[in-house]
Amino acid sequence: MERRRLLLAEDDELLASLLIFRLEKGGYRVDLCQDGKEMKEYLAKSTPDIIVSDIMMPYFSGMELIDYVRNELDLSTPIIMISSAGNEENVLSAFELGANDFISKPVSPSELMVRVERELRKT
Amino acid sequence: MEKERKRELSPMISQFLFLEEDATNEEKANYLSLKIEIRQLLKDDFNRKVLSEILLDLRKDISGEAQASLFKLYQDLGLHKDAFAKLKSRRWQVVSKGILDLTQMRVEESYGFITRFINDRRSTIRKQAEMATVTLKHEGINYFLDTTKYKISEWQQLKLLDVIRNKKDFQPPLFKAWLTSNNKHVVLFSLRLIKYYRQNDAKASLTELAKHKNNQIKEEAIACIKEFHVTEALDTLKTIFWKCKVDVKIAILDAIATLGTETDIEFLKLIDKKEANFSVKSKALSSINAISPESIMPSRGILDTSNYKIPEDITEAVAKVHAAEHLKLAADDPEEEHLEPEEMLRSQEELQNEFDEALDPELVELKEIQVQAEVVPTKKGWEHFYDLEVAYDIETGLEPMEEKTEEEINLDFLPLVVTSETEILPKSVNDAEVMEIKVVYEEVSAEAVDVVEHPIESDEQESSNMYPEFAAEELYFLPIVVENDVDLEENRNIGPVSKEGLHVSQLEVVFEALVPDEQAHTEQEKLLEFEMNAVEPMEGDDHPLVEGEKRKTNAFGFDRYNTSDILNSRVTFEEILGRPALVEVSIRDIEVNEPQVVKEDDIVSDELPSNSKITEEMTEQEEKQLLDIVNNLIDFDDREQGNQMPPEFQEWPSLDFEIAEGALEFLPVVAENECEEEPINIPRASIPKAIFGDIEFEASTRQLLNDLEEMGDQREIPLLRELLEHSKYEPFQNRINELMETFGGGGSKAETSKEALKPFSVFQDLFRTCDTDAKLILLDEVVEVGDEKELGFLNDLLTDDEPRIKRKAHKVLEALKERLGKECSETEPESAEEIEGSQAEFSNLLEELEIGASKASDIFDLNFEFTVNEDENGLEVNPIERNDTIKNETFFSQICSFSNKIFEKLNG
Repeated sequence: MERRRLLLAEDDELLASLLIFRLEKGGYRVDLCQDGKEMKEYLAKSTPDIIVSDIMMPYFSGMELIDYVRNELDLSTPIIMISSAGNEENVLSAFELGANDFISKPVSPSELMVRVERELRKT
Repeated sequence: MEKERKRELSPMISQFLFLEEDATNEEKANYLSLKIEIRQLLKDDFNRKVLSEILLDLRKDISGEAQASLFKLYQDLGLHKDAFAKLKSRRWQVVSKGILDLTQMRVEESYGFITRFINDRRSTIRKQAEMATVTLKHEGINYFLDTTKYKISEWQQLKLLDVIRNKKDFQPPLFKAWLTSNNKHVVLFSLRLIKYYRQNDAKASLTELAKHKNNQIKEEAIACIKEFHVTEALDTLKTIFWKCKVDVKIAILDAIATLGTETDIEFLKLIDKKEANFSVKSKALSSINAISPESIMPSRGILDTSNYKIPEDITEAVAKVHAAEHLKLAADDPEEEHLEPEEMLRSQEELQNEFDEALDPELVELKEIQVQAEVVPTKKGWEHFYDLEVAYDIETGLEPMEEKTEEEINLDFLPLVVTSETEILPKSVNDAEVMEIKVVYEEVSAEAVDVVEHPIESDEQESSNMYPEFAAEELYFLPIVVENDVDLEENRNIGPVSKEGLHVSQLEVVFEALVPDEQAHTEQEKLLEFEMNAVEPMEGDDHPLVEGEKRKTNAFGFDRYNTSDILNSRVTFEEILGRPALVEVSIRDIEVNEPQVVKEDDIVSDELPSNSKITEEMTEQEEKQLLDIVNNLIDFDDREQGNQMPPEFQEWPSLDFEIAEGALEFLPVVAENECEEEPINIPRASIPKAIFGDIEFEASTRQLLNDLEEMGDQREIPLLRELLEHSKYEPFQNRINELMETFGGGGSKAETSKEALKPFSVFQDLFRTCDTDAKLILLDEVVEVGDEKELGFLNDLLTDDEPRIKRKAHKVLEALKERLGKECSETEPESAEEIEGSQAEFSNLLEELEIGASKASDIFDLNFEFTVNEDENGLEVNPIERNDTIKNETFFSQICSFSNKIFEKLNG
């Protein structure tokens, strides 16, 4: 069975390493982008099955990337946003732009796994 | 390095964190191998530190089971032992970090170690320990409240509350247990916790704490009493009320407002009577209303409406409209059928326009605007308003025009616009208001006149026919209404052709009736005069006017000229400069301008009648007078010397003077028609005679004199004398004489030259500031470096008060004379040819400089040779090594050499 491709956009190396380990252990093929520019370049080349992205990143924020994926690339790829700034405004903005889910930090890796699986089941 | 190591170790941490029980054998094998590997790594302190940091960082980002695994891993790896070690440090920051690490990684076994720091004297450690104690165990808050002795800051209370409210499965203790604490901060914190957790089983304690001497505790207790509805505490609150601060009083009143009953109103009324503080009184009244709503009504700023009455005309109009509305409603027909014929003629648009005009802020007084705003309470009231306004304008709009004085103005119309009973205009209307009302009223009338095509013609005719009944004198007040800064040109242009309507026509008539009467000094003339005087900044009462005609028409009240007038006048010479050589200048060719006169003429001329004398030719007599004035202005020196030139009209000399070409080049060139703003202030004005000659020589001489004035001394007197002999111009001669006087030369008087050229000793200056010892040292120097100049100085010292100086001066004088005599004998062999040669050289030098040689000056009596000094071997000798060469040096270099020698002497 082919593993699902997951794009993780996270600038915190330690957290990214931990999540990659957990997601790969959960059966996903994880590609890491550490800033928004890198993520745009990646998306220009290939399309993952799901995107898990932090909001606050260098060059382009997670919000801009949602807009890029939804309006420029016109992709319906599921997007799960992660942010420590889990205030209402951010959450609402993310959903309005087209995010599928929102997880506040600190992240529970197990919870993330469940949410990813759920979004992928929807597609 | 550390980052690299973190990158290497973080996957290892992940494997430890996510090891599951149902892992495969391969995973378990990997886990075991990792465990062995990491134990090796932990032997290195650096690795331990990196691992600790990784776990501490991850703790912030992960939650759930992963976080619990993280805490477990932290202790499994034994990293908590490092944190324990930090607790033993002497440095407060290390201890704090240790407590923080243990707290963040939830090392519960550290609880007992950390609680010891709760009462640490170092506040950071103490606060960190408080947080750890409350965080690590549920019972930590109890321990903290029981044992803490220090102050708990507001911020710390918030943080502790945040910790315990986020604790899972936390059952808060009954905080009333700590209301008896000796630490008032514990009591206060407990009160807040009681309020937060709503523990209402401490009513008696709360009532007692309302009597606490600490205002914070008191306020918090009162807040709890109010929150938990402790009615039993009302009496206590009333008792403590009078001795509380304002904030506490307001808190008590707030509690009484919530808990109180009708029986407490008397107490609150008493507060209203007795309490001085405005806020407390206000709060007491609001509390009364809270207990018994609407029992206290607003009393401040309420107007007395008992004297209000609606004018009859309003009542009739209102009744009429009401009747019309009633009929309309009854018949359900169009309103036109039930309205009066006049009203039927008005369309809704016209009414709306009139209403808009009535609301125009430029036309309507502020009071009227306010009233009109109140007049529009309902939609149907609009129609009332339109009708009322129109009726008023037509019926009473012209009444003020018939009145002559402000006192007689009927102000009954003021309440007219009041349909609401809340607006009262002041009975005493001051003059300014009355005047303003007049103006506004005229505007309204003018509009009424403008509406010629309006159907209501009969009233319009009536109003317009009333104007001819007014005499011009009766409208005397009209120009006063005009603003002060109204342009007079505009007033002048107001005439019968004006399009302003009847008002404007009348204005024009009044204006002409007032202005031409010069003798009567009408109000308008006074006003103009005032304005002109305001323009005139000069202090003199009389105006320096040149033309008598203007003076008369200006009515400035001065009859004669005086010198101060002339001095303050401004003379423009461009007419003179424009003349060819040897032109006989007429008085009319000289433009004598005075700025203020020009300005005023510009203004006044507009108002002059057509027969004003300003347009007439000057009479011969006047021309002659003016000519004399200008002559006097131009040559003041003559007048002063003669001391006979009165400022008034006397025998004035003719101004027929001849001016050579270029002779007036020194005069300031004034551009044609250029008007200087500032009058020339020439208290001793004199126009110097024309200077002919070489401009370069003149400039060089002037420069030379400037230099001499700045840097010269008495030695320059011979040179000045030479210049004086050669100078043909009086200004230079005067300047040279002044300089000679300054240098002590006595001017051109030859008899004082020797006195002035008394040798000046540099030691004389130095002696002024020296003490006796220094003077003695200087005297020694005189022997070595002195010359004839010092002889006189030494002779003066022979009479010095100080005996030592006197004796020393005597010795030095003798020694100097002896040395000078010897030197003179050495210079005597100078041949006559050499002297002649040197004199010829000096003459050549003077000729090169275009300076005549001095004929009688001893400063050029040379006592040295212009020969090259040679030693025995024929080599040139440094002139500085010879004393006599000092005479060739400048005065400044001599001083420098003296001072150097003095320092050398002082330094041994």
